[in-house]
Amino acid sequence: MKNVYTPESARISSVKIETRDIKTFKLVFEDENARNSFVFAPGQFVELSAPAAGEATFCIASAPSDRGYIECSVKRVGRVTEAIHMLNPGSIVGIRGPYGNSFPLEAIKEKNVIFVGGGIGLAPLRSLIREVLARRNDFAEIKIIYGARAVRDLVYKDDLDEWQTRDDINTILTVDPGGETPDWKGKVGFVPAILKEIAPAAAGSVVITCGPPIMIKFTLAALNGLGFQPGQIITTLEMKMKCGVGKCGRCNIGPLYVCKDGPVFTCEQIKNFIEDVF
Amino acid sequence: MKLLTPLFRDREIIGPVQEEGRVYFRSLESVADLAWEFGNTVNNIKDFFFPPRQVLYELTGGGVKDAIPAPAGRRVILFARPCDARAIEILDQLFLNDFRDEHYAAQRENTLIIGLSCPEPDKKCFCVSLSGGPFSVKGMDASVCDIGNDEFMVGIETGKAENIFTGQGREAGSDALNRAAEMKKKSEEKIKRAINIPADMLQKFDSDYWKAASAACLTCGVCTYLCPTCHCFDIVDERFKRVRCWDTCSSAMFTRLASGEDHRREKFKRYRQRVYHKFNFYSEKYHETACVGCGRCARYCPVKMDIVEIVNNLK
Repeated sequence: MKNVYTPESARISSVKIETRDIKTFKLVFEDENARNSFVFAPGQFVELSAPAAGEATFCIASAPSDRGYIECSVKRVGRVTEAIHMLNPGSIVGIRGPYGNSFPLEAIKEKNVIFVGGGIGLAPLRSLIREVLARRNDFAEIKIIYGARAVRDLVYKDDLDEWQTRDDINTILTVDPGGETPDWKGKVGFVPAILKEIAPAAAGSVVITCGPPIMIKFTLAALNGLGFQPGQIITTLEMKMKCGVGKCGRCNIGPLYVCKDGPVFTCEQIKNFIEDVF
Repeated sequence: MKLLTPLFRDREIIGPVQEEGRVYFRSLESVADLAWEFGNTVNNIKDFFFPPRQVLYELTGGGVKDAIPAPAGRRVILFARPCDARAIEILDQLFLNDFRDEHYAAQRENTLIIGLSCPEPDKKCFCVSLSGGPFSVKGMDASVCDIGNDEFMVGIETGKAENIFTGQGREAGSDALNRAAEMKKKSEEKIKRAINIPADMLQKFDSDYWKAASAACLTCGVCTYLCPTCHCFDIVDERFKRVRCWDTCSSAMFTRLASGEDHRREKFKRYRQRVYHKFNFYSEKYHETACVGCGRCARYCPVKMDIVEIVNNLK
């Protein structure tokens, strides 16, 4: 009889400092069975517990093809994330999951895929990007448009460098006006503005976006202007969650539960409640 | 009285008791504590399957210690009104499907629900307009109806209740059946209040109506805590115990993220969420309205908000 609220133990194998308030934790399940049976798809999330502090929702930022471990990127914003940030390699955390639905990999095959990310919003996208790049030939053109408030706030700098060197994808990085450094070679401007500048064609394309609500709001407006239909835009919603399994009601929006019917949604699915979310 | 005494052997009995001028469902010591004359209790029976505070598990030196209830004996809930009994079936859909909630399931399996028919509904009741009724037996393992003359009609509704009244009473004759049917009809006629969920309710989500309709709300949560179908909860760590406790979507912190983002910052959005969840969203997913028409929210709201009026007047 499984208690759905009880986490599995995992050890932090390494901690990477991404920015002044974001760390990426590499986690390995203690129990071998748990390690082998944890199967997930890009877009899914886990409930991570800092023992005696609390539990919070984090998307899995690594790809299924990154075997033997999972990665979660945690931005320090409150009590639980503060407690997680204080943990070192070797510490034990609790993991429940994987929960939620995942990005529709099959449905986006052979299309042009445009990733639009902001700040820590790159975390769930990274899982999909890594998976997509592992099967590059299944997709047409790939663009990654990613920005943060300032150069020092960009996450996954190693991945960004790698993506920029590849000639089979187009990576455009930007920082908000005022966030550039003297040697910054990328663009300067809010992500939605850069998106408008790049003006990707809507035909045969799909957009996958994640970032702060304000960025998504303007991104959706920009995409609308470029002729994208709601069904062509996929996003992953962040909402306060507690149980992660559709019972506590907190992530309920319309008839949907972000933890069960999401977190991945097309804009078509949530168009009735978009005002309520962004 | 005689009918019930055998039940008390080897079982925990929960039933209505008088307490400071009101009637509450509590654990009983003996049949003598039972309240017989009451409209409906203040609290409802969800308290015994989904308690206000419940330990989910504990971290100990030896690892995780699950806190799934392992009740020693069996329980009987006595005299649940039809609305309260029906609500448990609605909660079953949520707690027992998909990721089965073992804390809820353990208590559910262990408990017999004996319902009591309602010959005198009060003016806030509106169960009939929500496919319920004062003589409904949905959700009951056995039903009891006081048909006068010191006689009770007892119905065995599920296999769980088969043996509890063995050796007592006799097969109901046509006179008793007629009296019960007559009482049912009279009782249903007494319920004048009806909720009319508008067919275009979803289209009115963005209406300005909600600002005015929710203006009086204090977000105190009384409606949520007393509602038989409300089930939202919070999960917190109390040192090494992980605990779940009742919460209310009307609370200002309900959807607040640590970053400060909150898609229901304004009170009217939270009130609107409560109404839509009960009368529109939940039924889209679970094919049941998440309201049984018990009337408690209207009876106990400190500012006298009336969900029936609010839904019926939706423009």
